[in-house]
Amino acid sequence: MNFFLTGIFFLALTACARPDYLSVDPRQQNHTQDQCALIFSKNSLCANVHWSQGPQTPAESEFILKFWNSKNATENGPYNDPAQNPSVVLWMPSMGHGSSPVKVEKLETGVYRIKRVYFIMSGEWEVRISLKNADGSSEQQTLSLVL
Amino acid sequence: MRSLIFLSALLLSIKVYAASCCGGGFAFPALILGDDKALFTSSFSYGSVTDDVLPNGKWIHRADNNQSETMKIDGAYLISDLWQTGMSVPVVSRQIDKEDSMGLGDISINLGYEFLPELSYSEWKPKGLAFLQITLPTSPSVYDATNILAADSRGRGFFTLGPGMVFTKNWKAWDANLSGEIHKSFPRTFHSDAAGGEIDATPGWGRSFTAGVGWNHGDWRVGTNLSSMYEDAIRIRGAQSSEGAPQSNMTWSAVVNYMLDLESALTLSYADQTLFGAPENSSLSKTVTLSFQQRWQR
Repeated sequence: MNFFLTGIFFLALTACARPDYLSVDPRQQNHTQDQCALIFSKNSLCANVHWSQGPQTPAESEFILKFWNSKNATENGPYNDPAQNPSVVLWMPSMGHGSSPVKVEKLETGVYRIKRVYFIMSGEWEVRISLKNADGSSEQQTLSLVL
Repeated sequence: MRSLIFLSALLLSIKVYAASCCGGGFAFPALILGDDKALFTSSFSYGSVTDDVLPNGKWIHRADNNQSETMKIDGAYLISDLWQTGMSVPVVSRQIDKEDSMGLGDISINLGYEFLPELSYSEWKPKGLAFLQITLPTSPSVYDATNILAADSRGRGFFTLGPGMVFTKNWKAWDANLSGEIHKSFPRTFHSDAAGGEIDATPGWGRSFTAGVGWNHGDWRVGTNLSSMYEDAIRIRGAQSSEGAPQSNMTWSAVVNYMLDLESALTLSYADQTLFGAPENSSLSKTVTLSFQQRWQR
């Protein structure tokens, strides 16, 4: 019995967890995307995301999504509307689930406010932004975050 | 004999959690390990998620005040000398930040068979039971959650079926237990607002192993257990697509049992998922459980 207990004791010691915490504050790391971070080539559009709140969990986050023509405009404008309003889904690929639906609000031509952005847990998230084309096909670009 | 009574209570308190977002995980089935004809256990658990671990092994502290209380009723009944059946019914209350939800968790039903009975004393031969457990998705999962922070996700969302074995052995004041199980979770289609439409979720196989020892003195027993769990990645197709990543973690628990009389016992246990192993793609929690067990002798 003593041999058995000693074995378990040493096995337990070698199995001790060694937490390796993320050293970078994800809120700083993911705060702003200033350039053409998202390229919708079929639509000849560029897009970027500016976080006005967050990204964070569990409190609400919010961001501004801007689209411009990739050939003759810049991130400072002029902005272009996609064929239809963009759809935005928050997705956690490692776990295989999403979060509650966000709300897309058009502010002006090519500029949208994405509200009710709730990341339901810490971890690796994707903000999946889709544009539906006139022919019914869709194009998706993804912004990856670690929260 | 006393230690076997304690072990029934101890093993019932073992729950190998999957991700907290998704509730559930594997809960050890309600099994009669002693010389009883029926067993009833009611338990209350309080758990708090303290950390998340990414698929690459990096840890993140949780800051969303993610807590859960689980009231669980377990019952097991001997249907013949060697065969038994059991059922577990959890009621789960979850709080995340300022959101909360309470309701039924995932119900489990099992069938047990004592394939290695202890008919005479042996220094080395253990008592062995085999079981088959089915878990039903009787509560909302993260795919059906309607709360903003998915506090109403109280289960995994899948039908799960799998066999397992448990071995127990006593040496004077000491006892030991060893158990293992594998399970298959079956694909399901969900209409998920979070995914923006219909998705097909395909989970895979999972497994868990537990080893533990205990020391008995009079009406008291103190023990410790170490469990490991693994779940295959969940693949998603449909409105969204992702391959997922496997989940794994280890749970260490310390247990104190007190025997009120020959047919009833109290158990207090503390389980911690942050101490051992190299967890991956998991939410790690710390859980305290108080349980009362009533049994009826043969």
